Order: sequence, then structure tokens, then C-alpha cells
Amino acid sequence: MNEKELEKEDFANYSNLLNIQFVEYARREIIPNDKAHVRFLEKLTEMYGPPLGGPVVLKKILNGKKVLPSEICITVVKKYLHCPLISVFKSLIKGSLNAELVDVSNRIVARALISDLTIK
Amino acid sequence: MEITIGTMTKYLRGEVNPFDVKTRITRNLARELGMTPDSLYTYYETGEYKDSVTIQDVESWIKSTSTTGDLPRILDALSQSQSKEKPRATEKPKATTPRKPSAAEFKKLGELSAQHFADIQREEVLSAKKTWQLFLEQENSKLIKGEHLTGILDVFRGEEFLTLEAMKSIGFEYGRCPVLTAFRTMSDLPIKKEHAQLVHDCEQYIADLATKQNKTFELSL
Repeated sequence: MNEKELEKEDFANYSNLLNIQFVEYARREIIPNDKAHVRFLEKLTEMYGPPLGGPVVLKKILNGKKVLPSEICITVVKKYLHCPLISVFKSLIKGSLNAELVDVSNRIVARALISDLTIK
Repeated sequence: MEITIGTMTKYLRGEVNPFDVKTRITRNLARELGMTPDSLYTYYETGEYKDSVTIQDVESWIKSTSTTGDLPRILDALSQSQSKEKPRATEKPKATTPRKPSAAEFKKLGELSAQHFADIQREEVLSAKKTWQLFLEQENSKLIKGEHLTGILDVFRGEEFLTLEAMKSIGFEYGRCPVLTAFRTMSDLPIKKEHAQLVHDCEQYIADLATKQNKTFELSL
């Protein structure tokens, strides 16, 4: 199953779950989404450096207005051997993340690692 | 009238002050004219007959003159008088329909509610999380469904606008605005004038809608 190529629907589903987790984080903190994005970006930059694709793209992904580009996802996963977005969420949120998000992320990472697609 | 022609002649010549006319003659004249002696004296003073009977006149007459046989007529007169003054029981008093607040006013109400939530944080020296926890701990808040709490939280976070539909949905569900109720029990911080006015306007409209749909809605302020 992990050898199956990643498709658009996989990234769309993953992006939707990332958005749900992000809004849940903002609600837990009782802060506006903009402020949550600032905190997320600061943590991501601290842990991994500036986001690939830029902060505006990241903000759109987290706010559910853009699907995570496959090239960015695969490149970053191959570099770190995991998805940095999940790690940032884990460091920001006490307790467990959305189980479905974690499951989908694991499958995306597994497939991304064997994908030929990367950004050079 | 039991009056002699000589006396009548003197009266006609104006030789006698009308107030000096014997009481018996005045009373008989009043009866002849179909009025009371008092009305006649008023005519002597002002040139006009007294055109209304005072309550004192009626009381006096009932105490001194009326008999049991007069009672039905008195009661009938009273009944007619009452029915003229009071609206018919079947007629409902016309209630004015409250003005429908605009979408912008509902939006503003949401913003002022979010501001009041933030003001409570400062007043009570609490974090946003603690303040929200305090909101959830209010007896009234414990009855609010999760979906509605999420909507309220998003308004407080500035991520959602308050709309008529949202306020109506929550108002009809709980019979009052649970947010205002919680605000009042979680802190003594008074609601600002503009906020209170908008609450009043919007709740009046919601209450009117509720009445028309046989639902109840209790005003907060």
C-alpha cells in the first residue's frame, strides 16, 4: 500500500486535516487564527528554519485555503524523514494530536520517501 | 310652582335678587325646568346652566333620595360607562413590532461581546484560557451544546461574525442569550452602554420572532 503513488486527493485530505488541527490549536489557545499562525511560524522557523515555499503559502495551507503542494511536501519529508508540520503541532499542543491526522501523515511520509518527485 | 301673581310680577320686574327667592320656589322652578337647584344657582351667577353633574351630586342623591328600585338603572348606567372606557376583552392591544437590526448591528454585537470577554480577562487578571474556562464553568454555560460553544468561541476569537440566524438559533434553543447570562454571572464588570443598547435591540427582535413562533425568549437586560 505504501508503494502506491501519492495522488492529489491524498494531499487535499492531508491539508484538510492540517487545517482542522490548526483551528483546534487556535481555539484551545483562545486566539485568532492570525496569531496562531505567527506562533506556528515562529516555532517552525526555530526548529527547521524558514518554511519551504514561504510563510504566505504556509498560512494559506493552515487556514485551509490552499492544498499542500506535493513538491514541497515530498522534498521536506525526504530531507527530515518526517513531516515538520506534525512536529511543530506536537511541540505547540499539549496532549495528543488528531489521530486521523497522525495516521494520514504517516502514510504520506511513507509514500513520499519512495517518490521520485523533489524540488531541487 | 306655588307662586302668587304678585310675586311673579315683582320677579319679572327684577325687584328681587334671585338668590333671595324662597328655597321652596327655587326648588319648584328647578323641577319645572328639569334641573337641580344647584344648576339653577350657577345660571344666576354665570348666565349658563351647570352642564355636568359632579360625583358629589351623584353620591348625595344616592344617599339621600335613591331607592332599591333605582338600583338596576344605576347599575345599567355604570355598565354602559365601563364598556365605553375599556377596550373590548376580545380586542388585543396592538403591540409595536421591534425594528429588525441590520447585519452590521449583529456583527457589531459580536465584536462588542468579544471585547467584553477580553475586558473580563483584564478585570479579573486572567489568561484567555482561564477566562474561557470560567465561562464554561457558569451554570448556564453547562447547558450549551458543543457546536454552539464552538461558534461562541469563534466569535470571541474574532474569527466569526455574529449573525441574526446564529443568535436566533441559540436564543430559541436556550430561551435566552447564554452569553450575556454567563457574562453577568462570571464577572461584575458592567456591560458598556453601546453594547447594552445593541443587546436590547437585537434581543427585542429575537423575542418578537420567538413569540410569533410560540417559543419563549427571555431578555437579558
